[in-house]
Amino acid sequence: MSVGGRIYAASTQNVGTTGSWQTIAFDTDDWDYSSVADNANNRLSLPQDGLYAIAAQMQNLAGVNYTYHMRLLVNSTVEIAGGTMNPNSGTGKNAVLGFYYASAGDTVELEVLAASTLAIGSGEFETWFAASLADYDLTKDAVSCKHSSNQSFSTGADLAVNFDSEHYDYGNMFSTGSSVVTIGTAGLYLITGHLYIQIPISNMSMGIRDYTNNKWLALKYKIAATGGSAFGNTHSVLTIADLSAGQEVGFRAYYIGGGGKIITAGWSHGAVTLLQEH
Amino acid sequence: MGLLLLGLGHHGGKSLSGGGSGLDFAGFMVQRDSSYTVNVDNTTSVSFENIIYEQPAGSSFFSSGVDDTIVTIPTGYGGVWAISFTGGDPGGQDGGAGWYVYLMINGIAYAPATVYLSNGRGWFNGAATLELSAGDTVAVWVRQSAAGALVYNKKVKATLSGALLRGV
Repeated sequence: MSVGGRIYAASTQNVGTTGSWQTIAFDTDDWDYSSVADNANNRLSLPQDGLYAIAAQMQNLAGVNYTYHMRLLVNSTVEIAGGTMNPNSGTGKNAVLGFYYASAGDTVELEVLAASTLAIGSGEFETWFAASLADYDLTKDAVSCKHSSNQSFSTGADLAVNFDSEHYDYGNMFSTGSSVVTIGTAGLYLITGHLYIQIPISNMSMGIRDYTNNKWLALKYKIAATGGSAFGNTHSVLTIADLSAGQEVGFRAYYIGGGGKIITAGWSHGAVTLLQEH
Repeated sequence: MGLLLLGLGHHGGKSLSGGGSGLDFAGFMVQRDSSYTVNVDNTTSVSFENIIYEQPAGSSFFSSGVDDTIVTIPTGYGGVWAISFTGGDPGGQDGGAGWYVYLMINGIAYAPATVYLSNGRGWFNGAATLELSAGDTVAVWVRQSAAGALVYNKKVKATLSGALLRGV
């Protein structure tokens, strides 16, 4: 049996009033294999020794304090990943990913730090927390796709990122013509994307779309500009997902602002990798 | 060669004693926990202090031990790797905007990243999944820019972790 779980917050919550790290509360299982989900304690429990991929996304709602820090904390002591979100306006979404070699019984929590009260959003695809065992073998389906040339997009356009070529494609999952990855083997997947936008822009969003069910598996939302740097906006988007054979996923981006912008080839990638087969 | 090593060498005798699952794991995690200063407009390779784990133990991801800036993929562990990198200043006191955090593969930026922070405090967490061969190196570079209102130095903390997902 697979080892992995995904939980989410079905109710909104307020955190950060003390200016110290606060544990995010979760109350609902999305999927759970081998009893990883532990909503009663607002955490994930890692049931056997092994290397795990661990990821979380958090939505902040409109409020006074926009900037917040997230971190993944193992056994309340080991910080395995952290990220900061400073959305361009009142709401935003951010995600973090880390790996950890755990002993059976280790636990992991999602914590947040904000200077003042921060309202956390609820919903299956808004504030979630997932982990999966991440073993390796020689046969796993894995694809990494990229641009062969730059791609322009315009304000307000919800755009499929036109990954039109491959780094590799084990399992023949990727269609270069449609930029869609079609899952071959049912299981738990790690999906990571990294987009480089040439010119800094505000209110930019990027996400991982489940085209089969018409949902966002992950969405980095309302990213702020970088303050005028020539390096542009570059960000990662990620998730751990339970996907079925034939399910279609892909990467998308959009922004609200003036003029056309360019996703730059070379530094933009998307990857879908089987973590554990069902 | 790699196929032989992965197909034969890592099965049998490496099953988990606890679960008896027969699964194989390869990965690493290294951390810079004590902050240090990065000067304005200066790109710096993060010097890590603490090896949180390397799996299998003794697999020599860190050729120089602690205080190494580079992770090297050992012989037999080439394949599809997922990498997580975190860098920045989560609790800093400095002002300004414009952090850059780079995932470097063999000294070349594979996934450059930026984080804009109106109060100058924050981390960037990035993810990349890519094929790496034995001998390839992985590192995290950080840079702050003089762009915008940035006038202060910053202090760096960083974490780099990875997992081999598919051998080749």
